[in-house]
Amino acid sequence: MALELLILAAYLAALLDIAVKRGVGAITAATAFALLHSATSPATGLFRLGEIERGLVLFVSLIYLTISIYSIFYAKSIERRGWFWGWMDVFYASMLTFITADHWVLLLVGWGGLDLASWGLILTYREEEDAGRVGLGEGAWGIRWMWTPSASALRAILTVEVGTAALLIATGQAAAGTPYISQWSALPDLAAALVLIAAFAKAAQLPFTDWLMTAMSAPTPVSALLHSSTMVKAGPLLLLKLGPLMPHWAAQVAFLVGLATALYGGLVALAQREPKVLLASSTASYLGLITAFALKNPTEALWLIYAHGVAKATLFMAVGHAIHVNHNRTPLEYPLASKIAMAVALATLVGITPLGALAKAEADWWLALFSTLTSGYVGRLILKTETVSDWSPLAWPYLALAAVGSFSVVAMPNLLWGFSLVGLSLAYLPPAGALYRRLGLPVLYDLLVPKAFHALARFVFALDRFLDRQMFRAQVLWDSLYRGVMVVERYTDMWLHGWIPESFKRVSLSLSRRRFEYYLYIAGVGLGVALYLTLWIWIR
Amino acid sequence: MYSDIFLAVTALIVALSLLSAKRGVLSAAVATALMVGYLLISQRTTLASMPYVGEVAVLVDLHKLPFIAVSIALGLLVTLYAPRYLEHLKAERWYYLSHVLYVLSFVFIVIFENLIFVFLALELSIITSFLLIWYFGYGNRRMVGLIYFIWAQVGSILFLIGVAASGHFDASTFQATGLASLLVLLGILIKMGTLGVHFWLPYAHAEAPTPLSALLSPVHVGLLAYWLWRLKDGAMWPVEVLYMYGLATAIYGSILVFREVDIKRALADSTIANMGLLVSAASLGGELGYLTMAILFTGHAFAKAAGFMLSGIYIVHIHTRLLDQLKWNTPLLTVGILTFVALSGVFGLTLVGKAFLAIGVPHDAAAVLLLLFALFSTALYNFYLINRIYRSGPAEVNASSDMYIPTLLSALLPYVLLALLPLLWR
Repeated sequence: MALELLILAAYLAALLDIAVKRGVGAITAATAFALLHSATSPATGLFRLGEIERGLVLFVSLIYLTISIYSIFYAKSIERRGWFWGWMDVFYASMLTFITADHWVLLLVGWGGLDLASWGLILTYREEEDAGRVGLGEGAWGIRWMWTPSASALRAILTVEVGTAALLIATGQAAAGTPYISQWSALPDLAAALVLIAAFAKAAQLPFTDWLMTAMSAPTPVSALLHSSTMVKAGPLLLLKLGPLMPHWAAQVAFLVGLATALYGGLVALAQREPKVLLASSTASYLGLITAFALKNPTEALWLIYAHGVAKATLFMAVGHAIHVNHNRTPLEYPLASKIAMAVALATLVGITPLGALAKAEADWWLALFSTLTSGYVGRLILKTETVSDWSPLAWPYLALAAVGSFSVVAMPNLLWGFSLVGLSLAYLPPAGALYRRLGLPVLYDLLVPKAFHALARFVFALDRFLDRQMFRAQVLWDSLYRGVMVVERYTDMWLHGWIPESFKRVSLSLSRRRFEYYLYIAGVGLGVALYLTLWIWIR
Repeated sequence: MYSDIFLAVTALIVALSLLSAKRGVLSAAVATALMVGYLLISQRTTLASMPYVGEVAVLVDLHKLPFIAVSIALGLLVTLYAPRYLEHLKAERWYYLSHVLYVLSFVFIVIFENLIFVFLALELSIITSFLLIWYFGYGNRRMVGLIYFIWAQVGSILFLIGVAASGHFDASTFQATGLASLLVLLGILIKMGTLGVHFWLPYAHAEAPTPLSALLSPVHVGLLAYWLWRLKDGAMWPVEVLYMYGLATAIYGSILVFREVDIKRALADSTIANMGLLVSAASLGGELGYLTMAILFTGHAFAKAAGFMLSGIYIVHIHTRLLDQLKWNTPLLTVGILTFVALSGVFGLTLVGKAFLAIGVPHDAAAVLLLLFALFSTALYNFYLINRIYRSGPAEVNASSDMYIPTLLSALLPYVLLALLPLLWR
């Protein structure tokens, strides 16, 4: 079956789901892709479906299928179900487009679709619904720590658009020769730098991290999808796609920025009070690790993508279950099923399940630091909350994902990674205030950048107003010119119709008063006599 | 044969436009639809040969086709949209006469090969639109009408003087140097409303009656980009400087949006930004420049028309243009999102246009940085606007279907065309 048709069908599923509001299109599309991923191939040169792409398509489809089934139950509490399902399908279809695109414009279409769908999904809850808010509302460090869906959506789209603008230019430069990515040659330094900016913004790497935290305004299934297999994963996947074209220094930069974000996200996650924000910080942290290795060790990065995807989707769905049960975004009681699933997810992240083992197969030992931090913050969710018994249908999709995803590959874990679980003790440390405040990064986006932009805008407004007023003052010039012309006109008029005829008249009258004709007569007669006398003398 | 077609179609359109002054929308719509007849003129056809002016030829080649097709399509959509709005304005039916001739002027601006006749077409567009602003505009409409008329005349006349001074009146052989070249460029830029000569644009486009705004902003000013692209080789304009100037215009126009409280003025400022992108696109060399310009023009035209038509729906149904009072229901929010996302270039046809614009960026860090800021700022203000409208909150707004359907179609077209782009390319 042609891949192009399947992708088109995935986009069309959005229209179906907007109409039926039940995720029928989502489940159908995800199932079709999961079943046909090995039987399908592109009918045109616009797409490429190699082994890695097929693996990613299967991975994204299975995660989406699981989350869609989960959402059938979860979305009952969502008022705008058509909106939710429509954007979810666009999200999924855009990710597939991005993964499989070989034509640069299609890559951008997929990339842009992800930006757009994430923006739409963050807006799912109404402004006044508490479920759509992030932050507890206190004022600190010059800002109010509360973000409504519209504020979160705007923050998200504006941050990632920096990356999208960078990607447009980078790929535009590369596409000058040929539009097919597989035929591109090495990227120049400037283009490579822009690709890094694009990947960092999408993957919420420093300093672009904070949009990911406030994106928690979206319903939990959205977070599960956005953090596990779509959107943020597009950042490192871009680096994997373009890796062979990137200069050597880019790997060093990606490594440093990735590690810095991994450390930042891990530490910040330890101090968060809202479980979804905690998991968002964790995502930033793991995306940091994946970004760090995307150019240095693509195989490890790819397995980290799989392992983190399965674990993070599980964690979000489990937390979502607790939110659903408690009707509160900071639940104190977690269903037993969710705690079991979170424990399995933690084991995968630490590296002691078969899937986790593959992700850790080539890992250096110093990565245990991040596993320890993971144990600390996931431990807070498991150990520092009450347990209730709720085996509603919400539990089954994520339990299945945790079990099948983590144990469906054959690999022998190195149980020494299990020592990272000592980090569970971090769950009992009191959260540090500065870490809770995300080391002040929101201040950059909510105070400093807006202030700088407003200063620039005020300057432009003042300049424009000044020039605009000058334009209106041109009317004064016009009036002066008009008055000048009127004066000239009046004097010319007076000259032509007044002064000159009057002068002629006066001269004429004056001449007539002097009896000029008499003198002329005398002069004529005199002249005749003189002429006669002259001639007479001459002849004689 | 083609000259006969031209004359017959023109005669029919003029007759129907006169009839529309009596009969109203139906005649106007038929007259506008008949403009499709011009698309048959696929070969250069000489209508007349005049002393001093030279050959007066018309042509619709593949390069002109998108501009003419978009003009006609939007002309028709806006004609169908207009009746209820005109009822709201209590406008007389002669509005349609001027409206049809205005749309006709778009076709003429592009179809003529003789630049003196392009000037005449520009004059037709100025006079018809000026009349509509003067009689049916908002606010201090006579003052605004005069501002518009004077600036538009200055632009057209500079264009004419430049062309006349060049001594080359036919576009296919156009060459100009020195002052003549500069005057043609200045004339075009004033007509487009780019940075430094943009002051008239927000007044005119915001205070015009909304069906006129929905043509003035999306089509009229953008059509001049075609001539910028077409004449640039003969006029030897400094294209790299123009590219950067276009980007600076895009940034400046984007920032201006943030001062507005009125959706129509915000859309007008957005037009300045988009004219900047078009100038940059038109200054790119060869087919790349053409493709970029045609895609950006088309994407902007439909989305901007939808934006203005949406503002018209608000004016008619809830009697406000203030951004913070534009409450929405699902259909209106759908159009709003489709419009502003398409304008932003995050998705839709403009995304491809922006990507193509990036191919031609000069390879130096300053140009790349300027382009980065231009691409970002043109996305930024659109999400700012939709966010502001969204925060106004939901309400029951019963938009009439005769206004809503043309608006929705216009808003959808940038996405439909994106999907069809591979086929159109072929």
